[in-house]
Amino acid sequence: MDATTPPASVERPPGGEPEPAPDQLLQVIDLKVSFRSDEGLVRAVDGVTFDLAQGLTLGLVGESGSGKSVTTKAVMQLLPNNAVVDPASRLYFRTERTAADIATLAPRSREMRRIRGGEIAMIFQEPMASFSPVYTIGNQMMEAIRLHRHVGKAEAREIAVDMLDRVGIANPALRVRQYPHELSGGMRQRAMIALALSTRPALLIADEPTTALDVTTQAQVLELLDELRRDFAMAMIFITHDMGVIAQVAQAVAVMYLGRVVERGPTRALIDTPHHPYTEGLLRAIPRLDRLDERLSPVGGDIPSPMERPTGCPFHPRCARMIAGTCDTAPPPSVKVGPDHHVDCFLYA
Amino acid sequence: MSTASSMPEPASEAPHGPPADRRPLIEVDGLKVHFPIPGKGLFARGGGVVRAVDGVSFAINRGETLGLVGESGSGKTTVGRAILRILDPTEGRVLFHPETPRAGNGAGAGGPVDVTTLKGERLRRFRRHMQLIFQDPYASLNPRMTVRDIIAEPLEVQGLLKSKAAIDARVREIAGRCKLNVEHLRRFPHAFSGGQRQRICIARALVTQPEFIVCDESVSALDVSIQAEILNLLMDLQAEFQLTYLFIAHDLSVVAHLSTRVAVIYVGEFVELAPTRRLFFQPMHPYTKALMSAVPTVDADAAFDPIALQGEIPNPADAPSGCRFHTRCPYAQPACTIDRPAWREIAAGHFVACHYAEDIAAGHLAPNHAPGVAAE
Ligand SMILES: Nc1ncnc2c1ncn2[C@@H]1O[C@H](COP(=O)(O)OP(=O)(O)OP(=O)(O)O)[C@@H](O)[C@H]1O
Ligand SMILES: Nc1ncnc2c1ncn2[C@@H]1O[C@H](COP(=O)(O)OP(=O)(O)OP(=O)(O)O)[C@@H](O)[C@H]1O
Ligand code: SF4
Ligand SMILES: [Mg+2]
Ligand SMILES: [Mg+2]
Repeated sequence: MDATTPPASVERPPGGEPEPAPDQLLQVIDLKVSFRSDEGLVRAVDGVTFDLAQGLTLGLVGESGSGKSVTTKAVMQLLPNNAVVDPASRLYFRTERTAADIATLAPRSREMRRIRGGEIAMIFQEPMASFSPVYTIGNQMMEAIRLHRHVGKAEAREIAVDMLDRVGIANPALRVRQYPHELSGGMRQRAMIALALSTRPALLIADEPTTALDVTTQAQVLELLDELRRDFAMAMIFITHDMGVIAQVAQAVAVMYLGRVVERGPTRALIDTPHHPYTEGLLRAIPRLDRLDERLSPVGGDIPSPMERPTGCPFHPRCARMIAGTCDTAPPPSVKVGPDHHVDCFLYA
Repeated sequence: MSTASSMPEPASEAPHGPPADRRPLIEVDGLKVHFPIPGKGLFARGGGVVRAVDGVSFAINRGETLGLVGESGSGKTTVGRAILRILDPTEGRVLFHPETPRAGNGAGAGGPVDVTTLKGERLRRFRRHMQLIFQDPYASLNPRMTVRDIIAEPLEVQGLLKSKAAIDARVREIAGRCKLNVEHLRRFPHAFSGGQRQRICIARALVTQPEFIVCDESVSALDVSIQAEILNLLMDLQAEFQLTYLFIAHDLSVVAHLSTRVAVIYVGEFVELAPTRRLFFQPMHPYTKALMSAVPTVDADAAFDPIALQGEIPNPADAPSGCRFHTRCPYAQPACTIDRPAWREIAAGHFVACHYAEDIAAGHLAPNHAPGVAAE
């Protein structure tokens, strides 16, 4: 894996075009996304690199506005019109049916339409965003299924009923005939998952899907997603601010700061031995039930505005361990600090 | 029915902040908020209502933070809005006890104000005492106003300070307390990060020097670092200005950090209320027990084995009879489907609405294998 992952600090890998690795489902290589605004081009994602093997869950955490949602929207080609993806960005996606660089596909191409909502599905915090209010749950699921799988109407209905049953919705044969507003909040959440999974995606992107739920329902949804991931050998990218949730569902974590992945590694290793000073700060800031008497400890310093991106390491203006003359001048190297554990930081160079 | 005000807990239970004053600032008695069901469709049984809040009674003491937790749609926001009179309760009273009889606070000669009966000019003038900080700092700030004007607006609307110099001085002082500088005041909100916008919202809420603030998911959209910063700020401001908070949030660890006491709401009814540590470490109600078992932790040694609740959260337009939790409760007995459990004080300052709380705590009642005796 390391041989094919270029150091995050270089614009283009020294050996020319990066090669897709056959054992990875998704390889995001040096993804850069900017937005056109009144103040000119603003860089939101600034060289993100990570990969994801089939059937595993990657947790994506980090600062608000660090580019988590934009990164995953780029993978889905769901970016708004004012977004500009750097042409050197690579988004290799490989399944039994597909071997493509998503970055080179036109958003409306046949292949992209097949991938989006078919091989890669997405769920959000607000289930109503996934459904149209004017069609029944069943109609919407059947349409998605028939768009992505070669089945007739009757079979599509069967798959839809099966899928609703699979996510734990009682009386699924009745539910397919109902409209989204006729379901309770919890049921809608599960119906959204059923809709997303009805096309048997190889990759599910979940952008804060449990943020609005109470913890009992959250625990159910997490367990359900994990079960479906194992049964369908589906990979997941799970975005959340809750490290506790990450610890429950993700095998690997990528930590984002100001448009970059500053550290990535196996979940336990990253939580138990964080290397990047930002990751350390993030973990220290978590409120913990076993430390109710302690004052909370935020990461010190102020977040720079996206217009004034720091030179060198993006974190250096807030970093207590900053090496003057080094961290503030050059981008930090990507250093391997353990099995599959990488950190962009001069402290380990 | 006893109310929470009758026996506040020992102040030493507070994880943070100054010892809470035991005198109530707010007393809520039998609060109901019902919304008529609009339109057609399956749920439009003639004259049906959503019983969003259905008879809750509690008090919030001076200088304390009362946490309020519960599922999405359980009625948390509605409770907060009814106290602030952003919406009108269907039934019940909300009493506000002013510190000292002040001119223009809507109170007569120093007695409590029944917020639910205030109207017109008196209501308008009363609003300065109670403020709201919302979840979404993006949506709640007018993009065409400078930060200075956003913070000053409540003062101007209320006509509390007349001269521009006095308003400027107050805005600068409060902005400084919220870690915003003079430079920031000239800018427009779009130039700020989520954390900074939330500080603007807090400054705006504090500028009228309110005594009571409802924080409705005020930190939910923020990352953990900014969240920690804002929570520290809220606690510092509380100590400095003797503020009283109703703090609504989904994240139980956040609620535990800030709250003196915590209430749990389920489908429009309170099921438990206790001092923070008691609620988290000795929960009595089966729903609270399930909640506490499902708090995710980063601690590798802590076993994560959430109590699974069967079935769905009931629709508040069609709430279950008896105990509203009986359709999902692992301990439910036949009586639970018929009798509404009383809101009772089971230990000093510890309130619970469950027929069998003592039996469950003593281990006399085993969880059913098929929870929800009358499900569906
Ligand atoms: N449509 C857009 N136009 C301009 N800028 C945008 C747009 N969408 C996102 N951005 C900017 O891109 C950056 C990354 O945003 P993104 O939504 O990916 O953050 P995030 O990591 O998902 O944050 P959060 O945790 O708050 O959801 C932010 O600075 C944001 O302001
Ligand atoms: N203006 C309204 N008209 C009709 N129904 C309403 C109105 N406001 C809220 N409701 C309903 O009242 C119930 C309680 O809503 P409320 O917003 O208080 O819940 P909440 O606990 O704050 O949920 P969340 O955690 O999602 O914010 C819900 O069923 C909701 O749909
Ligand atoms: S035991 Fe009965 S009263 Fe107590 S929570 Fe369960 S259903 Fe409600
Ligand atoms: Mg996001
Ligand atoms: Mg709410």
